[in-house]
Amino acid sequence: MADSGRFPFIQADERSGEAALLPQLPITLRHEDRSTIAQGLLDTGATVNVLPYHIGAELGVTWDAAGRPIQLTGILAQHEARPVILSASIGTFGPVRLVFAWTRSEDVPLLLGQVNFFMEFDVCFYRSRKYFDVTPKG
Amino acid sequence: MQLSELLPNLRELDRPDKLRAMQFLVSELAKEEDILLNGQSYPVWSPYNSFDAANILLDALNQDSHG
Repeated sequence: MADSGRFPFIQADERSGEAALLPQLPITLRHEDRSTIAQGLLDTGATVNVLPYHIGAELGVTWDAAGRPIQLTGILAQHEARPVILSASIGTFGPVRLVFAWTRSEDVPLLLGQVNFFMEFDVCFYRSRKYFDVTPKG
Repeated sequence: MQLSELLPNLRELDRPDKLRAMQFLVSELAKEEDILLNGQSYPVWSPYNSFDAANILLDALNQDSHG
């Protein structure tokens, strides 16, 4: 069985107390020779990973070179999105390839969803204890 | 402007305008304190049930693996 990493729930709003604890995961994203560290929100209800526009731009991904447009649902439906594949590293785990819906929206958080974050990592939430464990797939 | 200067003017308002003033103040406080209010809408970012998009992303990943 692969080693797992333990991460704390992060206080998203200091005024809101325990209600504002979110499972945010520090993640290093790479594209060619550029990298950036971001906080990804583990979102089990999100069908796909979502990359906000500014992170893709910071990594040097060009909009026209990204894949064909895709249609997202919900509030993100109003923004154009395209597929982007990045190398992602979490803790001491080896890098994996994550595919993102790169949205033109700037406001959205970095979302880690079913395709394909939760296909690469098993996650066990211990919300009452304010931490979660992440294990690379076996 | 001091509240003491404002109060006499507020007292002059008719009932509908007093209610509007009250709603305005509640709304302003909510903005400042970032609290949730009944009747307001808040963005939910999760792309639920974006299965077509998910399939396109998986195709892109598979093509990249074989490319």
